[in-house]
Amino acid sequence: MKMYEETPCFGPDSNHPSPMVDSAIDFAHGSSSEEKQREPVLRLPVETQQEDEDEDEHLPNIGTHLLQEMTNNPCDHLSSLNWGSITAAAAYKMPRVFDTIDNEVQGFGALPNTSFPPTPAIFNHFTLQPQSAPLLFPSTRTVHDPTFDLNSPLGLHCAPPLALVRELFQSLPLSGEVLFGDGGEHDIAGEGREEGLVQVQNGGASELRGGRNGTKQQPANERERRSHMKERFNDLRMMIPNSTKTDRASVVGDSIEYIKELKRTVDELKLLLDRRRCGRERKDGKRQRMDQDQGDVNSCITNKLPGDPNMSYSTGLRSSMLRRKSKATEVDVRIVDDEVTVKLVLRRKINCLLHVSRVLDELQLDLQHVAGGQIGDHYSFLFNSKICEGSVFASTIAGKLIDAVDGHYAVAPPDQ
Amino acid sequence: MNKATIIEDAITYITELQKNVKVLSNQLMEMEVSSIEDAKALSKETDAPEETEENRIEPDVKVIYVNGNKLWMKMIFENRRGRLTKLMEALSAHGFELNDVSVTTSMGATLISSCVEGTLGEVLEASSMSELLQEIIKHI
Repeated sequence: MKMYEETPCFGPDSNHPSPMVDSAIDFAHGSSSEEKQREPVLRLPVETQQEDEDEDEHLPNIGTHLLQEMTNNPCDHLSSLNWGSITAAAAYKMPRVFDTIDNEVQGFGALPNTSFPPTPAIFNHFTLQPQSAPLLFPSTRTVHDPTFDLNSPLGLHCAPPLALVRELFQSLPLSGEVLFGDGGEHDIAGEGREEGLVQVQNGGASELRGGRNGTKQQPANERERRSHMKERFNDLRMMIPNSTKTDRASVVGDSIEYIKELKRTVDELKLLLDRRRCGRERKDGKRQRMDQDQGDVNSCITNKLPGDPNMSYSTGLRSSMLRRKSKATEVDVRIVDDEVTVKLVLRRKINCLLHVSRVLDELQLDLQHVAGGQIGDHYSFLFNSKICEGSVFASTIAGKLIDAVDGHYAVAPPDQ
Repeated sequence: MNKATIIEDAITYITELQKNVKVLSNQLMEMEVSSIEDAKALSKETDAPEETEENRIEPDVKVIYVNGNKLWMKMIFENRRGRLTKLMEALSAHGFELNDVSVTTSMGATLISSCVEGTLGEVLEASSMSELLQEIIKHI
């Protein structure tokens, strides 16, 4: 395919997003015969695709997106971790898999310390900018590890999207610390990688399931793994607030949404905190207290979170959004600056206008606009209100609204 | 890299984020407690100007009979906090419900445009509804 004929994108400084993206996309949809022509390493990620039940078929793609969310803007304190140690740790745990890739692919002479291959440029396919290595590792903008250059051609060698999952895994903020630190889970993960390794060495066997080793122990391990997976999926489902469907794809989809929401909330809280801190310190500075450190005011105003060089929190725009669902109600709460917009969809009306109005009054929100009515078999409403005083959080609003509406479902007669 | 690790990582990451949210909200709550006094001082200042508003908005009510127990109504009244809720409560108490509602607020005035239906099955009259609405506005 044309990738190999394109200008090589080796090294940290090259920047060829579009050809990479096109090639990558082509590759992702590429035919298997072409894949086989290249390296046996291409078989690496296919393992999980053909695993188990049918419902998992589209899971790899979702898994990719799930990881995508986890790696963009990791938590503040995590960004202070030393990336060098993490990559080293991750590399230590997954040396053999990527060693083989490394052996096959030339041109990584620029890599200094580890045999860890760079993150593939296929990430550009998602939301990242061309030179967005910092986006994955916001704290390391100045500690740019060339091993994680996005514009490497490694992505070219990863056949289906699961490859991205594998590559993305390298960049997980938690990968080096949490996952490997947990002994119990490590075994499962280690086992998975072992199998991947075996596949690589076998040159991509078509039999990716139990037929790998052909021993009697394999089915038992498979069963264990399946039940463990089931358990894990249930755990995940328990954690997310919006879980209405129980199938795995929905769980993963919902968890992606929930992670996005949590990240938004964290940003929002940081902004509010910063604002308050600045406001308070400015006031204190005016009163000229002796023990007030004037340096705090300046540092507060210019305080920029590492990795977000464009966002000075104290002057940023407060914004947050979240959705909550219950059996018959859906609430979407968005807050921008001092305005709160609520979208409500419910099956039965039960005078929800009154209840919502009450809740918003309680929360000291001034209703400005309301619109809504019946559509088909459900009712849809939009409420726009202003924050008068005090502080409100989207989660509080959503929770109270759902309670108010659902609570009255029980009281009202079934058909109205 | 397989599904198991992704899911486990997701679980860990979610717990981590939830913990962060909790910590940050607690911090925010603490800060709020200490700054409540300031907020009260500010709110006292902002409430006063509303009452001394010179341009008072005259309440306006229009009601049109549609059919059966359905009426269409349009109301304009001065926007004050909590008035909308009280209006809803009053209507609810009289056994009316609003369907296909549109409420708009601008320049200190609230405009409500909506269908009104009686939940008790009685036939409604436009004029009596209009009077009722005007009464309600006076009392909210």
